Amino acid sequence: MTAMTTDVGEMLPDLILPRLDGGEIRFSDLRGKKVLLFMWGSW
Amino acid sequence: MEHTGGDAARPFVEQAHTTFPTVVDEHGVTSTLLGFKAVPNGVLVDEDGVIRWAKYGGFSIDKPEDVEVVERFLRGEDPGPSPVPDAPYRLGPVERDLVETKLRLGRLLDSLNRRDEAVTEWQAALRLDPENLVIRKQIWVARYPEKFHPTIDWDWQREQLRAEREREIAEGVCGPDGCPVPWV
Repeated sequence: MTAMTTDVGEMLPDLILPRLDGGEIRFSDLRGKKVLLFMWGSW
Repeated sequence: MEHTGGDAARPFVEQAHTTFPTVVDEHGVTSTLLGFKAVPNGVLVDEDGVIRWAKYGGFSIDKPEDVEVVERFLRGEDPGPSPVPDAPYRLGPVERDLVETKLRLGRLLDSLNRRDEAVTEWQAALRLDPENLVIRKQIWVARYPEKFHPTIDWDWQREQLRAEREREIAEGVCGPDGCPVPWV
């Protein structure tokens, strides 16, 4: 990995992504909880 | 990761009756920021927002070894070392920067309905990073939307990948064995 990507041990970048059911989620709003990000594609 | 927006993902989410929120990354920003080249992925983030474990490619809640890591993490234990991705990152910082720039330019062109020019930029990015399945599929979705909607033609994808890798080997993009494209 290069300095441009985020590695294990580093802070998750703060993204705002739209929710499928409306609204949005800001990653930094998840602080205080343990989070599992499951990433997939329909393709 | 949905290059055509969330509608393609909705049936899967509804069928799974998920109890957690689903967000849509239409432009592949997570792939760029975290540096992964394939999905499905599992990433564990602690209470302070620090990434504690990541498996890029092949993560599944149907795999006991993956579930065990998640359970360990939830119990407050160390999740252990992260698996090495199938396609290790081999780009230097300058190439990486160029790939990122071309992906961004492509997204911008695509948002202006200049799709052919967008695909040209993405193809240049893929040429630099040929094992990146996220970029490769973004190009396919743009060029061959009929293979992805209303249903996904997996046989077509396998054949397309085979043909593209054959061409890449002939052009010397990777070694004689071709680029190590991760395939789910």
